[in-house]
Amino acid sequence: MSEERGWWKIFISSYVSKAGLALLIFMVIVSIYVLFTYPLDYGIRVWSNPRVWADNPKTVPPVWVDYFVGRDLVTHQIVSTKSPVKTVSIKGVAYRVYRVKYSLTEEGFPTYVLLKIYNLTMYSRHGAYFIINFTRPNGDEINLLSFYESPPPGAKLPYLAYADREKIVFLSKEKSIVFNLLNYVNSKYDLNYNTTDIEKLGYETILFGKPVVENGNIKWVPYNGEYKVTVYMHGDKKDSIKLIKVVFGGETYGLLGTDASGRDIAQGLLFGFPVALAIGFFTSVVTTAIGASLGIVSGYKGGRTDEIIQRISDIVYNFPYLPMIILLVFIVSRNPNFPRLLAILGAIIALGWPGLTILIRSMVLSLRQAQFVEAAKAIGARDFRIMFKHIFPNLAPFIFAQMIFFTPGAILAEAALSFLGLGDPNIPTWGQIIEESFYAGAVLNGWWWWVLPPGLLIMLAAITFVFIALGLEPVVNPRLQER
Amino acid sequence: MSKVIMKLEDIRTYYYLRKGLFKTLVVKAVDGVSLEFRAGETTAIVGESGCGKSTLGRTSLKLIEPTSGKIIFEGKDITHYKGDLKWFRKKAQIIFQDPFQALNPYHSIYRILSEPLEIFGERKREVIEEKIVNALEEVKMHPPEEFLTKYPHMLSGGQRQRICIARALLLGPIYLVADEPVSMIDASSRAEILTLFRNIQKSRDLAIMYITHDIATTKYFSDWIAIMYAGKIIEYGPTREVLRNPLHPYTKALIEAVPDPDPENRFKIRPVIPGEPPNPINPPPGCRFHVRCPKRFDPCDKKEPPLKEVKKDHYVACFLFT
Amino acid sequence: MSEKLLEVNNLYLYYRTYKGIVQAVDGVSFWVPKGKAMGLVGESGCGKSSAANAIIRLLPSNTHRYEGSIKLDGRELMKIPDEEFRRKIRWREIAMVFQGAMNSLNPVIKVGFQVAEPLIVHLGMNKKEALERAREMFIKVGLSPAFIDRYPHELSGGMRQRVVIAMAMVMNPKLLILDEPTSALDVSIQAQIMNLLKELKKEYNLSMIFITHDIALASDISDYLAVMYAGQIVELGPIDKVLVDPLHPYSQKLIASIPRLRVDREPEFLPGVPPGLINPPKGCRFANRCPYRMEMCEKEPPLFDVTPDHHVKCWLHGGEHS
Repeated sequence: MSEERGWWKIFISSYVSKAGLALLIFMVIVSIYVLFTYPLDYGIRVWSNPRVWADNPKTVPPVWVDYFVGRDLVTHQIVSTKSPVKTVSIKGVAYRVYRVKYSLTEEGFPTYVLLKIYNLTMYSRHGAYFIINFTRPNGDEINLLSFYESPPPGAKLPYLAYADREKIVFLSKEKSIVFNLLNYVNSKYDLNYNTTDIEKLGYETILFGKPVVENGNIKWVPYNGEYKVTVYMHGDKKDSIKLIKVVFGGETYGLLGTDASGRDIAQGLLFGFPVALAIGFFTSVVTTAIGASLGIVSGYKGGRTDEIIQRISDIVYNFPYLPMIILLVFIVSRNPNFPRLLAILGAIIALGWPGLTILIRSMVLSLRQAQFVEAAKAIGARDFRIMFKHIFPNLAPFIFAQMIFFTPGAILAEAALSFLGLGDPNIPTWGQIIEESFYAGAVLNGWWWWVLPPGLLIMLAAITFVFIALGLEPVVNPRLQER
Repeated sequence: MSKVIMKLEDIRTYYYLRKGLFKTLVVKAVDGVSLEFRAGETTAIVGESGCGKSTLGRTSLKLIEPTSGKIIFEGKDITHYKGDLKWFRKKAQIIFQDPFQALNPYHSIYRILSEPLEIFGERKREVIEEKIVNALEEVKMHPPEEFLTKYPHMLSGGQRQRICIARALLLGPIYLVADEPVSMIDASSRAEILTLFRNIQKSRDLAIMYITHDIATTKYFSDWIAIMYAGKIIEYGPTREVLRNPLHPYTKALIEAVPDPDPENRFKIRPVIPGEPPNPINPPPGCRFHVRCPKRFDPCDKKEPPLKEVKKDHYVACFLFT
Repeated sequence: MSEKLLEVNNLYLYYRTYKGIVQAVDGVSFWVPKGKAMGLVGESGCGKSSAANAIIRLLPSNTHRYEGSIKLDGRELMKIPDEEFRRKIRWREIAMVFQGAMNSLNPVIKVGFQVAEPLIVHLGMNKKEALERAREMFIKVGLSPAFIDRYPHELSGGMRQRVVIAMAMVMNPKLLILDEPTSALDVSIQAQIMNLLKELKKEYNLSMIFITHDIALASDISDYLAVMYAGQIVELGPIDKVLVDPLHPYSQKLIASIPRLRVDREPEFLPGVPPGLINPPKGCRFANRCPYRMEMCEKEPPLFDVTPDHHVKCWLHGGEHS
């Protein structure tokens, strides 16, 4: 009644609790958004699915890094076309021209160029023959490479290729283009390069750059302008292509960059919000329920029951937390059918309950002497009733505060376990993401956008609950209240 | 003479404290008390702290198990009763000293009062409500409905104690132990609560054990008085008689030590009993009071004086009277 | 009327709580003559402990209003800054025995040192001298000087209370404030302590403010009686007047409710509860329980002088009425 309203007023009066509450509301809103917009099997369907991320640049920083670096960084662009710009057909044979345009405006080189061809339908046994050309802003058209595709012998026509797996040509990594580049460069710019020089500079530098003389040395600078990638296709008149995509790899991508698999880190981290909250709440609720119940029974019953429960909690309490959790998860994860995440949660709960048991027991010991307990006995109440209808409500605020306080510990424990590689690789939790970043050498390579954001988010989640717990302290311990 | 409801025969309640691995101390809280409680009568148990009166009250209700002796309730020996005592709890209740502690701060008044009914199987809400409202009216809390949703901390000390009384009365007891029921209530409200006790006793014909250290209140709320010292009863008789003609030196000194409101008091040095109340772990040999007694003589430190009837219905345990 | 040692006029002490502002001391005026004791009586929650704290200036951090005039021997204390008050007045001229002090002794420090400490801190005595003085004090309060080396848990309740009194008296204050000094003690020990206080009062010509809810106890030492209700003093005067023939309707009811051991008079009771100190009612605060209530009572009466030393805050005794 007014007791509860007073509770709220005390809680809300301090700055820490206001801050904690604001953070919690923020986290909850984000989690709700994620739950509505992400598919439930996001982990398996999207995050661990390389096909989703295939086009993305790998380990590039976020787009807003532009402001800090001082120059515009090359944005990631994907250009596609479905229909040819020109088709010439003579007597059942067609000659199609597909063209894609790309503007390089920034002072940098694209990180790679990918060509993808989707769904090629071939009507002739001869198949189709492709020539890929590259046009620079000054109009020079370089022939990069050519290849052809034909239906396997005995296959029924029309034959559909590039359907389950699209044709991917890494234009900027195909060794075969090096000679064409070499010829172009040496003749156009009067240079004396060999293939090693080209390799050293990188294909993208040559493709998208031009040499300038600086202090007697030749430096390749980005060549701004409009580029074209042209795909010449020879084939049967009826042949068709569903889609041609050219990916010009950018130097940046997304809100928080990408990881080594090209995954959008921002997207993965967002998914981590509800996961973190769920892990935090689930473990703390279960741990608190077990710990408090055992504490109440132990403290109230006394005697043998008390001894047994106390010994067990002493033992479990004195296990070294992290090594024990690691051991437990490791053992359970030998069974591949057991969901990893559940193993982690179970381990956190299994090691977390004794702390509360011991605390609650000592509180119950003093409450047990209270007169209203004696009064309840005098009117004939039995032990169970007294324990849960009389003693528990007196402890409820404390237990609730302990629950809140346990949450950041649980979140950190899960992060630690994932970081050590015991987590579920399919579900992108923040700990999981950090683990992969370390494993991929992110720290050594300076890929800060992969390491810092998940770390900061873990910290944020922990701080949220710590603030709330701090704000609850005066409610639970009336002596801390300001009179 | 009205019916004997509760009879205590040579009750001894000892506590055993373990001090260290091999030593056990015996606290002789109640050391041989025999009393009778009749319907419609109040017996006051008066003594200072540590004399065992609270333990006696709780022992009579089997909230503490006696070490030896007999508890006879309505003619039945229940000392070693081997079954569920729920039927006994219905008929024998207790009011505690601290009304705030005796009520669970997290339960509303309705919940507190409905609990005994629920424990004894009453399920129908209308019946429960009716009984609760009647109980509140009986303890003069008007209007009863207003109090159902309140919590203990919203009530004054006197009101809380009335709730405790209402709770005890709900089950229809015939024997009531009132353990210092007004000592934590303001002086001006005490008379009100004691009058309430008296009226309830009359209307329900209750046998009451009234435990107190405030001897002045016994005049208004007890028919019999027993003075307890170091676990034993040293004087017993009708209240008016004992208060007017105290026989035991301790009783005399106790009465002298209590001031009545009198502006002349400040000029007088009150005669006091020297020393401290005895330690129940190691009571002195012989008469427990002899160490502090101004009238002690030869047999007092060797043998314990028995409780003997010296005048009609007036009993004393003192060698001065044998 | 003898010379005034302490004169308090229009003293206010309000506290800020999250429920509102508690007007604990609301315009209180009284005096204490030299060598005399004033009993400050009232029910729990009437503000008497707060009045004591206000005089010795032990204010909590949430004090909202603290003003008025407190004159000690003619000197205005309110004008003295806090640090000077701490060094020169508190414990040296005015000392206090707090409620439950006997249970608040530091359990890990010997009692002798706890009594000696104020001497070391305030007077700069060295430890040996201070302990010697403490030994003297122990004798004065009836404790063996050997107890200097004991710890609080080794002493009984009565002995601890004597230690606390020694602690308060060690610097020979002029005024001693005692807040319920005997409430946790047995009756016989209570009598011993009251005798001690009477002796100390005589020997040191000590002025006292004796705060209690037990009027009979107050009469054991007080020369003057002040009755407090809802943060205000409603009657103030010599004890033989106020106790025998109280004028304020509340005092009348309060005194009539005391159970008397030696006189055959049924104690009366006063129904209702005193108002809370947050948002007290306008006008006379006792009006809603007063049998003589009139229309005038909607306005708050001032403290009228019935005689130069007997004051009543009631329209029945002042204004256009008397």
